[in-house]
Amino acid sequence: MSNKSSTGKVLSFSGHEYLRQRLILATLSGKIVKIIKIRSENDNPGLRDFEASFLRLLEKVTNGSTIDINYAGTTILYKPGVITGGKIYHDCGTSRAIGYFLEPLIVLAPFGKQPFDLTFNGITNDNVDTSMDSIRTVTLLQLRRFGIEEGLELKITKRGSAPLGGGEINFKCPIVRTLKPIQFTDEGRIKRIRGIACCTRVSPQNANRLVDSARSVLNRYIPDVYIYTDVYKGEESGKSPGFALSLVAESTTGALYSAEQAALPGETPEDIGSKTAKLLLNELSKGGCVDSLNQWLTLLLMVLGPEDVSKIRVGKLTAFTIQYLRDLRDFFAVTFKIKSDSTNNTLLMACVGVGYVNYSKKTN
Amino acid sequence: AKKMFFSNRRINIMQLIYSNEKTPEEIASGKFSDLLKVEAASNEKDNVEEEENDEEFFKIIKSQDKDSESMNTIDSTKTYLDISNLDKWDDEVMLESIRNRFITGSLEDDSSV
Repeated sequence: MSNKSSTGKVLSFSGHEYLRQRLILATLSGKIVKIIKIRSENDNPGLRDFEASFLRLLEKVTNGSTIDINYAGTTILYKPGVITGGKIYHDCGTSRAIGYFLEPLIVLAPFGKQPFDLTFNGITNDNVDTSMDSIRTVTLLQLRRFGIEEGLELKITKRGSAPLGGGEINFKCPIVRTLKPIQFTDEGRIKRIRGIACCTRVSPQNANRLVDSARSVLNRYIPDVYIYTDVYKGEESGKSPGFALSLVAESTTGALYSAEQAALPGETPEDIGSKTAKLLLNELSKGGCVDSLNQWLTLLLMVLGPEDVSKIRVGKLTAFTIQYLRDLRDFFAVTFKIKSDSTNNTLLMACVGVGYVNYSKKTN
Repeated sequence: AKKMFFSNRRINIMQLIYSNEKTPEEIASGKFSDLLKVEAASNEKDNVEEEENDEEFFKIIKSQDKDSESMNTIDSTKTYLDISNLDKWDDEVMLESIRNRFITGSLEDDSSV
């Protein structure tokens, strides 16, 4: 499965932060990983329920993985197996949104034995994890650039707001043999803004108010702002009332920038609308060809690409991405060449891929 | 001098990320446009650490338990976005400053985009 045989060396990390990415990178690289000191100094030590749930999910999508957890749950030893895929159902619970589980799996999906067909239950929109709308309209489109196109889809069959959830999504991803390298350094200019305002178990009028307030901020720049209202009724609207807005700006060269907010108790649609619009402006001011939410994904796919140079322009790196770069170096021994472009405060990042090949997919 | 400053800076970003003990949060919050300051700050930090490393047998664990589940330690891509200083986007000058990121902006001063 993996293009590198395991060297028998165990990679060791400590802390519960960045748990998902380390497990995913271990799965892709075939390296054994040991994570220690998971909240060992906390009053309530060990893994949380959502982390345990993620480990169970990882076991479902792979074959032959072994996960050893010590009694207190503060140490994990993970020996990755092969990525299988297929039809999988998982209840994500309500402590974290579906985004927590789906986001990392997106990178495993193209390299499975069979195409992924995942059905997840849980919270679709919240303020902690990437919402399903952003994943559908931005994250999945990043894959397209690397040659993963046909059959890639995410359907939100039911929406679920925090705290009780009750949403349901279906994710399908085709498998590929290899990825394409990318050269994406022209960020272009923003030509249109799209968005989705959704609400569950509240008056549909809230969605319209979200749209109006977001438009009032964004219309000064560009007339092409269209925000869809997505109102789910009855069974399809989950168990909790709530509303959320997700915005996407697209540039002339196809660069996508996203921003999103979900309402907390007591917030008005106007608050959320203008807050999301400002977040989008913030994102745009950073520049680059990929937004902060998807930096890690693009960089990882560049590393997994063929043995050729891939290049991308990014805005300000987030803390998450910086740690990701360090982990990528640990797992794949790839370091990026990073050059800062002083004309617009962006960074040019280049790397040579490891030439990852999915041998389960026949060449055609 | 300007050239030297920038050539210096290039090395620094890679150094910051790949051969530095600092946490990603510190690097991300330190502005890239002012790396000298970041470096100075890191030196300061080293000094502080040395002072703390007095020969004590028991280490006192910093009381981080209460808010250890605060936004920074949650494993999520989204919480690393800075949503605290959105008020700056109420300012007209700030709003105009990204005008050129849109196709409606003027094409002349492309360099400022």
